[in-house]
Amino acid sequence: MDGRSLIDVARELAAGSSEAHWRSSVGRAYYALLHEVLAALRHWGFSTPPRDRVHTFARLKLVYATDIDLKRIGLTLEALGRLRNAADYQLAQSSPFPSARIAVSAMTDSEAAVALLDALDANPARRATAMGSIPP
Amino acid sequence: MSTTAMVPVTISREALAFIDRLGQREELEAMIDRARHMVPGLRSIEVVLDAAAEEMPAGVVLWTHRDDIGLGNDPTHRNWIDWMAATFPPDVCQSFTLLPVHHDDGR
Repeated sequence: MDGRSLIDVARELAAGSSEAHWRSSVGRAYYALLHEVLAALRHWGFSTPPRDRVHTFARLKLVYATDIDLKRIGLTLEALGRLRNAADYQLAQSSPFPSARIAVSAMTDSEAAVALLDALDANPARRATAMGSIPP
Repeated sequence: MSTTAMVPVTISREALAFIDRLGQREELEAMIDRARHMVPGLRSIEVVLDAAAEEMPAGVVLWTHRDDIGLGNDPTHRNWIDWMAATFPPDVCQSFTLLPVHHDDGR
């Protein structure tokens, strides 16, 4: 299974009828992008750290890349991670989740970032530039 | 694009202390100014500290309370990320996140 399959689950949850569905959708959207980023980094020759450190590893590799598209993907992952924190850990804070709206936005952002990663990886010249811009 | 220069901004004491420790108050002010001009239907901005969780260090979240303009394609967040990526170095980018709170109360 690949990470992007989770976007379909995020979509199903976003179509649900309760705040619990919408909060859960945000988590799937985050993990979809996280796993796609990790797969790309492995494909590009980076060794991934133990499980508890993969979140920081993936985010910082991209945010600190000098390639602007990788940085955009890293910032999207950062935003989805913060939103996931609110969705999973701040249950008393209901205001971001009064409707499916934010879950749909998160899913759309995750999908767009995966598409950008695909486009970058499919172009050998762009891929080489991007890989070279990632700090060791 | 709407210009909402006078929308109220609140910054929590914890967020301000965190930002001052990083020495990034000027960057926060630039972000608030940008959000005022970039976020359609903006009502208010709430700046809070997001405490460290198991996978993420602490960071600042700018919650932008805004009108819900529906489920159509809304490029606001992607435009924001483009601006952040082009404007700030990584050490600033990794400490600040803008997120929406959509209000559909018809106001």
